[in-house]
Amino acid sequence: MNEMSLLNRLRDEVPPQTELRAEENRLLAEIRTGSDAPAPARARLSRPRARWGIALAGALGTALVAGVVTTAVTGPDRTGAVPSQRIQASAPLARSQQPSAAAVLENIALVAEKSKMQEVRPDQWTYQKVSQPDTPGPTFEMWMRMDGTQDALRENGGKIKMGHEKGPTYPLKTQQELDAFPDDPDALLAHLRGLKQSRAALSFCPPGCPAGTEEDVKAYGAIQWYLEAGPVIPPAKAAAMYRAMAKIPNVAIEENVATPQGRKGIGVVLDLGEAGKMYTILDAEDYDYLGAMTVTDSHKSALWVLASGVVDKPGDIPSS
Amino acid sequence: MRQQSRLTPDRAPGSTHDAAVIPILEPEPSDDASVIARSRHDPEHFAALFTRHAPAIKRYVVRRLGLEAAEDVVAETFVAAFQQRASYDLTRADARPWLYGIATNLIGRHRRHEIGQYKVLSRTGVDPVTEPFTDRIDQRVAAGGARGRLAAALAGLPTGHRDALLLVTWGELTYEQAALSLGVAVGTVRSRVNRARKKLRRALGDIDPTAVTEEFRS
Repeated sequence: MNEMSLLNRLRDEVPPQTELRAEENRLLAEIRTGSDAPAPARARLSRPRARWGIALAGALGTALVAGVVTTAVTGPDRTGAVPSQRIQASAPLARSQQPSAAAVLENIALVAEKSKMQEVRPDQWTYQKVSQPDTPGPTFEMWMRMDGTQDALRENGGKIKMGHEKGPTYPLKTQQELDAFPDDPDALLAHLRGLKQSRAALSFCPPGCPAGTEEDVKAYGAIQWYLEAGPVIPPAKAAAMYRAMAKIPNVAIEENVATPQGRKGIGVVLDLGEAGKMYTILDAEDYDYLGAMTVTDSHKSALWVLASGVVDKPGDIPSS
Repeated sequence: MRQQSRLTPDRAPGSTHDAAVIPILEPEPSDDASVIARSRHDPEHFAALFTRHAPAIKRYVVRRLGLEAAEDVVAETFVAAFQQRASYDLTRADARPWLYGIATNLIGRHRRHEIGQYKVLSRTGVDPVTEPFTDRIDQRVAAGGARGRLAAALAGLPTGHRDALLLVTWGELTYEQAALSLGVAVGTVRSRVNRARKKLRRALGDIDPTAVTEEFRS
């Protein structure tokens, strides 16, 4: 026996399976709430296919018959929105200064309010193409059936892989949540601050945000997440989201944020001082959602959305 | 020659395989990268990664730190992985190097505890790490035996060497995977492992190979 095989037999008595319930519950708590809140003891992950909570809605067939409106659905390059309707940024700002978040976001809200409509059926699929933070990174295209019964993935233009597990979060449910948003920005902000589950396109300030900022982070993260994940965002709701963002303390505008794809963006930034900055990046021309970025002293991560829309089947991409 | 045309000469083309004309989209077992990509939208998907990898990672961490510390390290590993999922490199189908890398960082916070337990084993012949898993009274082995010597050698290794060595043995990673875990070049892993092996060999020294086999069989 040489030293390697001796080493391999050292502590070999440790069994392949040991109790993992505590670890599992910590992860579940994180997934559900985005925090280290104490986990409910039920829900076991390691059972195959065990799903926790959420009876599947019976109302799938009825949803989305009414005209749903979009600001987000554009072509594969996320162009072709409504620049002509854009309201010019308020003029009298000194050139060297960043414009006020309230003014910029109000303009974006006004544009959003006038955006086009698109109807979506439960048997249609949302499409999104994202890229890795690093450039030139791989691209991932994901199709999700609105009713959540199937999804599909394609990596780097390769083969489409189908999946079928229905999770508690799926486009139709996200759409229903969006549709139920209050139109009033204050009411919306209160709603988002009170969400049970914290959401964000990117995780932020783990293991915890500075005291007193938790609810702001939750509301900001939720808006970011709905902008990214919402299949079609009704104009009134989009406007309310941008206006709500403007009401979150420490939200500022950074102009001329470049994406790795060379798009010029406007950064709506939640600045938490030493805990870092959370960016939601909108196209400088048409205010489409381009991606999210978090930046701390030691770490930077980003998720860029290259294209998105609604299509009839996996493999289709939205036409411009 | 196409065998099929010989066997079905009378049938109209296509009639045999009508069902196959429409491609049926079968769900495929998804690799780790797909799970992580999905989890960015639907965080619950991340649970699949836990189901897949937590048992092996737990065993690895238990072997290094013992049961009690391992619980925290494994929980923190998966929570950290979940939080960092947006920055996962989706070109890597297998998430184990990433997960073991996070675990290795967290194990590093318990370095003194880890070394202390190797030393206990080396001095007393009783291994606090394996104690909970064995009901044998006679697990105590002669101090100075092969286990003790190995443990003493492990305790004396530089952290980076111990990490590399244990990732490719207990962690069952390849050298390439261990390099990804540790964020170093493959050559670095290779040289660390080689140097660590040399030290283990020296520590085992003149020990009687038969006695060693006996000891490990017990």
